[in-house]
Amino acid sequence: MPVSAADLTDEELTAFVKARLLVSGFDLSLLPTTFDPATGVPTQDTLVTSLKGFVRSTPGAINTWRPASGEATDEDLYAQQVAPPLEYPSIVEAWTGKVDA
Amino acid sequence: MVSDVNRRAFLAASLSASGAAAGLGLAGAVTPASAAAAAAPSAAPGTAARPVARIRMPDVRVRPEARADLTETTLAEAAQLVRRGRVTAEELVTAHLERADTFDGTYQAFNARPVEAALARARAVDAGDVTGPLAGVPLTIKDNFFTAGVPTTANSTIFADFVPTYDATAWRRLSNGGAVMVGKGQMGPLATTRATLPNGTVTTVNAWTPADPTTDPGGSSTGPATSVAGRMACSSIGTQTGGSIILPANRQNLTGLKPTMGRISLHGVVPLTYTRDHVGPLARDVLDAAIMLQVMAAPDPTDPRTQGLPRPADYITAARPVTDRRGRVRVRRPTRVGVPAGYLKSFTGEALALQTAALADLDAIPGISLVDVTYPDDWTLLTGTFNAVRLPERSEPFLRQLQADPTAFGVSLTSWVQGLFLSADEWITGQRAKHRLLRDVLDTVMADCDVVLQTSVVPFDILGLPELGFPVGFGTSSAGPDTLPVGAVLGGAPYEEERLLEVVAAYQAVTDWHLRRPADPAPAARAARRTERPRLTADEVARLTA
Repeated sequence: MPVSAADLTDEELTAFVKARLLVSGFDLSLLPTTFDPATGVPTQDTLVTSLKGFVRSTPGAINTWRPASGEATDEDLYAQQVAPPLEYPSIVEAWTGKVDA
Repeated sequence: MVSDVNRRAFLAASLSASGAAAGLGLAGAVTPASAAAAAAPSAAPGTAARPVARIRMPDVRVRPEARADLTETTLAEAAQLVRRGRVTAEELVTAHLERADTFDGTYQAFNARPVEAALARARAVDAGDVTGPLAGVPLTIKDNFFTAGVPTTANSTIFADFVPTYDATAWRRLSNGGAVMVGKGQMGPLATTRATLPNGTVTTVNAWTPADPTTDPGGSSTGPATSVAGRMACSSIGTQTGGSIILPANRQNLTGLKPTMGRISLHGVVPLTYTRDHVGPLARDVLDAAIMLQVMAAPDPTDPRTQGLPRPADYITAARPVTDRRGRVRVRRPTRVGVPAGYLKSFTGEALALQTAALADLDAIPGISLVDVTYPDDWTLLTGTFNAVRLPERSEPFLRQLQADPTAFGVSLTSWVQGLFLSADEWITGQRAKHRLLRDVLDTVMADCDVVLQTSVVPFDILGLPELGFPVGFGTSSAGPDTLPVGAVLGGAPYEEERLLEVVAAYQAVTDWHLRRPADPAPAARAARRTERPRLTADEVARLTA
């Protein structure tokens, strides 16, 4: 049975979120603890709650996807050979000569 | 079109006359000199576009209503009136400034109005000191474009005191063409949602419902859209990362063009997502959009994304309608318009009726045929959840600001922090998914069509493919029947903007939706302009963000 973010307890997830913020140099204490209408910025709790939801839903949906290779066996190994990353797909399409002038 | 062979190389080798003409990138007749210039290096990637000053503007029939009220003019009409001396640039600019004096308290389309500078530049046009195809034409520039000596805030506290020392390349090319900036367009903070103050309080209204700030004006290029729809500028430029040109155009009865990635330089634009940010016009009609694109489209030494690409095409000619021998409007080239399975099911009520009618109108144009296309199996995953892959690209350039003072991000903070929670391997997976999605779109969805109707702006934003939004009718808003613009969106193959322009030029030649303008704000709306406006929460902004 594969593991995922769903296996994290709420306390573990909170700790993960706060630890990741620290790793990035983000000081959560700079945010207000109650709503500040002057800035509209989320409170510390609002932000952490939102980030926990993001961590539960999004990274796992992305990192479990792989492009299909079409091969009947050793699918994971053949999948490494297809769809190398493209930051700018349309530009690559032109640079590789597949676009009419 | 997509090809398995390098057609550009073939065209360069064959030096065909049609290929040479297509490579001109300019309106007007093919002179021996220009034909030669086009024939030799035209097909080579990276060839420079024609200088702005040499772009030839179209001759148009100026409508009586435009002569009667200069704020009614399209860009093409306005430029022609000035060019032919029918009005002065000062008269044209003053008309728009005075209208903004009267109504922008209600619209709140601008966050800065350099009035004296605009008038001075208009007088310079009239004195012959400033020339070019856009001489004297009043434009709105979204406030995330660097404007030398003029504050550029991206409507964010982070940029509150920022005054750039140089112009964004796109604005510089428009300025070199003689355009006059009448205002910096209000926008969603850092180009996220519809225009609000950094604290989430709604500012800019939809020009069609000025008394009702709850009507979505589209985001985040809201101010540029409202300024053009509200007739305070002839045209405008915005940016799109997640629909922010197309959606405000659709919602305010404008024609919005998001070109292919790299077609217009992004240098001097405040970044939101490097791989998805695009510059484009929000215009009165398809010809105006084409003119704006013609001026801005060019390789830029300061933006490698613009280099090594096919030469810009002749967009202005592509946006001129043509007729057959019987005088019927036809499309310039036989064009297959793809209709995704379930396209009409994505609409209800009035919008469904209008989209159905628009399909019928398109289908009736000689040369256009509607064809069914089907999305691949994991379309929803790759264009839905994978949309989040853009987020680390907004965290990275702003990390210093996130560390120093996150409150400066105001209501928009959450998505900037979310980007810290996708790992590098997940970002790479996202770039592989782009590759897969590109092949899905070009080899499957567009295998049997030349352009395709869009059910969402996100897929072509992810891929950097061109989109053109255009009006198809009006529904009912809080202001009454026929006051809520409804639009459609066409997507195209890489660097095939002219194909989109050709289709919409034919459509706009047989319909008149694009000619309709909203009523002036009623006195009651003007009196209530400072009343309480709705406010977006941080969670709402995180959900709605571009």
